[in-house]
Amino acid sequence: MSTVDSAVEPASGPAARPNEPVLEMVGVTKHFAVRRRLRDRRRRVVHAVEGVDLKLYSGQVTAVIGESGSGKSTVARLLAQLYQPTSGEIRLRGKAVRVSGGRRLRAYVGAVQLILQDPFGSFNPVHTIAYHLGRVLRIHHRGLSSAQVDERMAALLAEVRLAPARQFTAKYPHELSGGQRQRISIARALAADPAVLLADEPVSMLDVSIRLGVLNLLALLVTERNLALLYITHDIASARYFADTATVMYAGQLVEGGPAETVTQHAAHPYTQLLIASAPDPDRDTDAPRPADNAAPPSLIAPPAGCRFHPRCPFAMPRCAAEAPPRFDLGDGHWARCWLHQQDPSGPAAAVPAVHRSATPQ
Amino acid sequence: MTTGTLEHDAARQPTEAAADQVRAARFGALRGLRSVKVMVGLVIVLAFTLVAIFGPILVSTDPSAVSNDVLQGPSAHHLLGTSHNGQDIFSEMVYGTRVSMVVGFVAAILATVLSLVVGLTAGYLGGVSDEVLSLITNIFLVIPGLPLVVILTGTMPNAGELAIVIVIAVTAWAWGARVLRAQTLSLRKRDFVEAARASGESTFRIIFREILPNETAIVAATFLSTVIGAILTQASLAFLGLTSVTEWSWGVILYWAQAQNALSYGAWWWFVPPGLSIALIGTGLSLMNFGIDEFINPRLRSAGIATKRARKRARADRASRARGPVPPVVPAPSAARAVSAPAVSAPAVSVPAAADAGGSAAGRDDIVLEIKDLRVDYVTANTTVRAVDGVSLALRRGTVLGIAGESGSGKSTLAYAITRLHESAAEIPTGQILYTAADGTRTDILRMSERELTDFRWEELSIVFQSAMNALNPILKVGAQIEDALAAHRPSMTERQRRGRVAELLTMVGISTDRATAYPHELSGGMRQRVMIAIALALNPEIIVMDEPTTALDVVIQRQIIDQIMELKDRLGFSVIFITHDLSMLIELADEIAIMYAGRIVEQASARDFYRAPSHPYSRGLIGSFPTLSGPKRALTGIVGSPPDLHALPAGCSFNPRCPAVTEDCRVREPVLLPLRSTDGHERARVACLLYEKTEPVAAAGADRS
Repeated sequence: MSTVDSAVEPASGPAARPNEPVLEMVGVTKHFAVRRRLRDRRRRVVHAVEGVDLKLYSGQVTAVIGESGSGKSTVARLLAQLYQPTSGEIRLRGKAVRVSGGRRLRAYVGAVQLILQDPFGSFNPVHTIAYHLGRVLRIHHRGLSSAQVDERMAALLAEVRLAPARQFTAKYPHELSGGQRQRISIARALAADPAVLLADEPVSMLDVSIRLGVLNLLALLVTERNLALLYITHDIASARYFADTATVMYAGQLVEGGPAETVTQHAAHPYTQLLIASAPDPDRDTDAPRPADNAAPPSLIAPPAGCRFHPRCPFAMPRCAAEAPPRFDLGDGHWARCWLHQQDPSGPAAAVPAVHRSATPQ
Repeated sequence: MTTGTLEHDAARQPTEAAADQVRAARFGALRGLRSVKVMVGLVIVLAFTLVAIFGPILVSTDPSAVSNDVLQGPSAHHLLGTSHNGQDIFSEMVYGTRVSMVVGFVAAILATVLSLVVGLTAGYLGGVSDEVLSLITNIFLVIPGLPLVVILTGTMPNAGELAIVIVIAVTAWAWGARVLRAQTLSLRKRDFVEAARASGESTFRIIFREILPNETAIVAATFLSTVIGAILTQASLAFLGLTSVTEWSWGVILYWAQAQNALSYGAWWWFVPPGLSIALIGTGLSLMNFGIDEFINPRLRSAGIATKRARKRARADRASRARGPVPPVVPAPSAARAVSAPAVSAPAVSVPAAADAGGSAAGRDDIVLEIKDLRVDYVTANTTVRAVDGVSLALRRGTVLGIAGESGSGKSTLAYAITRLHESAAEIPTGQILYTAADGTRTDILRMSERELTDFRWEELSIVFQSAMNALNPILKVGAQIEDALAAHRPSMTERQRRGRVAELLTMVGISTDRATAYPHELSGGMRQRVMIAIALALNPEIIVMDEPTTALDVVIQRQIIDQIMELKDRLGFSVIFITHDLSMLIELADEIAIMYAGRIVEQASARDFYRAPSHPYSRGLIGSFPTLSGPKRALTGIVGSPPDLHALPAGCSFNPRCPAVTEDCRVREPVLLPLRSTDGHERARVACLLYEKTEPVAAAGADRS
C-alpha cells in the first residue's frame, strides 16, 4: 500500500528475525482474587490462566480458540500489559517486560496494540472519530503538526478501506455501522505503528456478511506490514481459514496447538474434537456419531485436579485425574496436553487408537 | 491464508443521512434549546440573572432607606409596596435577587467542584482512596443538612455571604460525589476506557477527557439541583435570622415580613414576591434540566435533527398522497410491472398452497401456521419504517422452518408479530397469521382478542427468546416459575400434579430435578435456556417460536441444546420456527429455510435444495461467508457493503448496492418472490431476483395456474 510512507514501517529491528517470536508468553499464570465472604477466612482465587506458553511471529496469525471463561481474553490483556501476570514472563523481542503504567507502558503499547471485541463499546460516544485516531497518533508520534496528523489519519483510513477520510473523521461513533467501527478500531491500533496486534474476537459482534471483509483486511495487514497477529476467537472454523497456527484453550490452559489446518482436521485433544463436533457444519456427514457431552467447563476457583478436562472426557483414565498431562509432541509442530498421546508403550494404550486415527496426518 | 476478495462496507454512499449528521454536528449544540420546556426554563433563569447583574445598577432607590409610606400596597411610586418602616420592597427584591443568586450559584459551583474531585478520584482510583473518600462521603450524607448548617452559621454570628456560601457548599457536595463515583466506577470498566489505556493515554487524560465528558449530564443536573438547594438553604437561614438581617436577600425580606406579622396585616406584597421568586427560579432550573441530555449527548443531538427532517419528509409525503392515488408509503410489490400481468403476483401471496401441490387437501391440513402477506411498520410520531414487508410463509406440522437474516432483516420483528408480542410502536397494516389447531379449526392470530391471545400463547404457541437471564425472574426459583405457567393455564391441576409435571419437564430438557429449587443466577447460561425451553413446553404447545435461542451460548452448549430441541421435537411432534443469523446451523436443523433481507423474503427453499444450490445472490454470499470445518477449504467470497438501513432503502431491489450480479434494471424494479423450477419441473426454490424473472417466471406462472 502506497498510503503508508516508509517512516511508518513497523520497527522490524534485528531482534525480529523470522524464527524469533516478536512477543512471547512464557509460563504465564494469572490468578484473580475472589472477594472474601464474611466468616470465610480462606483466600480464594480464580485460576484464569495457568502456565500458558505462546509465541507470536511477524507476518503470522496465531489463533487462540476457546469458549467463554476459558481465559482467552485474559491472555490478550496480559499480553497488552493491562493485567500483570501472577507468575511467568512476557517477552517483547526476547526481553522480559513488566510495566504497569506511565511512559514505559506508553512505549510498550507502541509496539503491542489491542483491538477489542465490541465495536460499539470501544469508542467514547462523546468524541469524534478524528479525536480517537488523533490521540493515538499524538501519543505515539510526538511533535506531529495538525496537518501531519490529518494526513496520517487519511492514510490510516485508506489502509482500512474507509474512503474518503473526511466522510468519517467528523463523525461520532454512533453514526457508523458496526463494520465501519471495527475498521476504525483497526486503524486506531495501526496509528501506533505496532509490531503486534492482539485482536480479541474482532468479528464476533458483526453481521455474518461483513465478518469476512474485516478478517481479510486483518490478514492483508499482517502480510503488508509484517505484523504478528493474535486472533482470539470461539469460532474454530474461522481459525482454520484465517490463522497459520492455532491453539486451543480450555479452563485457563492451552490444551493443543499446531498448524491451523492440522489442529482443525486432525484434532488430537478430546476437547478440540468436541469443539469441532459441536460447531455447525452443513458439510459434515450428519450420520457421523457425535460425542455425547452434557457437561460444562469447570469452576476456575477450584479446578479439577490432573487434566482439567478429565471430568468430561470420554477417554478419561485414572491417571488423568491424578496428574496434569505435559505437552506431547505429535510432529510438525503439532502438540497436545493429553495422556492419550504419551508414547510410552507401558502406558494405557487401549483408548489411544480411537483418537490417534484422527490425530495422524494422512 | 484466505483466498477471498477484499470488500469494504465503507462503500456506503454519502447519503442524505450522512449529510444530516454533518449538519447535526455543526448545529447540534443548539438543538437542546428547541424544546418548549427548556426555553421557558432558560428565559426564567436568564431573567433572574439579568436582574441580579444589572438590577442594583438601574434601581436607584436604596432598599434600606426608611420613609413615611408605611405598609402601602403596590403603586406607581412603590411598584411592590412598602414595609413596616416604609422601605421600598421592589428595591429590596432587586438587591435581594443579587445576593440570593450569587450565594446559590457560587455555593453550587464550590459543591460541584468538591463532588467532582471526590467522586472521580474515588471512582477511578478505587482501593484504599476509594474506601476513605466513600466513608467521608457517607458520613456527610447521613448528617442532617439543615440542622448542621444552622449550627455552623450559629457559631458565626452575623455571618457574611462568603461564610454562608462555604457552609452550604460543605454540606451539599456529598450526594453529587456519591453519584459521580458510581458513574465513574461503571464507566471505568467500559471498553472505550480500556481502549484508551491500551493506546497509552495517561490517567489524567483518561479521567478528564474520556470519563468526565460522559458525565456532563450528571454533573450539570447535580449542579442545577444544588443551585436550587443552595438558594433554598440561604433563604431558610435568612428567614431564621441566622444571617445578617441588614443584607438584603429573598430570605431576609421574608424574615422581616414574618417578624412584622405581614400576614396578619394582609400585606401580601411583602411576602409573595420573595416566595414566588424562590419558586420560579426553582422551576426554571428544573426545566433546564430537561434539555441537558440533548445538549450534551451527540447521539440525541443528531436524532433530533433526523427527526425534524423526517417530519418534513412525512409532511411532503402526505401532501403528495393527497394529490393522487399513490400506494401508501412504500410502493406495493411491483407485480403489475413484472413480466406477465396480475396473475404473476398470485403465487407470491399463496406460497403454501403451491408448496404442496401434491395432495391439496392433505397438504393444507398439514400446515399448522400460515403467514399471508404480513407487513409490520414501526410508527413513530414522524416516521414509518416497514420492518416486515409482505411476508408469506407456511409452517408444516412437526417440521422446523428456519428464518435467517442479518440485522435489519426484520426476522425478529416477524417473530414478535407471530406471537403478537410486538412493541406498541409496531403496527400491522395488512396480513393474516392463520393457525390451524390439531382439530382442524383455523383462527387468525392477528384477530384474536386479548383474552383469546392469553389462552393461545403457551397453550398452542410458545416462545423462547435469546436472553434467558432476562426472561427468568431472578427472585423466583426456576421450579416455581414453571409451576406459575401451569397454575395460570391449568387451574384444575393440584399442587402435586404441578410438582410432578415440573419434574417431568426438567428431566425432558436434561436438568436434574433437584435443580427445581435453584435460582436463575445459580444456573449456567445453557441451563437457563433449558429452563426456558421447559417453560415453553409446559403446556404442550403445537408451535414453538425460537428467536436466536442459542446465540449467547458457547458452541458446545449450543450443540447440546439444539440436539435436545430436535430430539424433543421428534418425540412430542411440535413445530418450530427457528430464527437465527447462523445460516450453517439452520441448514443442519431446518426442513425449510427462508432468507430475509430488508424485511422481505428473498429466497425460500427446502434446506437440502438451498444448501445444494442457493439461488439468490444474497443467499450465495451468505453461504460463501461461512468458513467450513470439514472438506477442502473453499474460497470465501462474503458480501460487500453494510446490512440495509431500513430508514434509507435503495430503490428497486433492496440488495442491489451489494449485489455482484446487479443490472440497471435492479435499481429500478423490485423483484417478486417467484417459483424456480429445475429442468424436471421440481420447484426447488422461490426467489425474489430479477436474474430469474427474465427467463423462468413466465413458464412458472403458467404452470402454477394449471
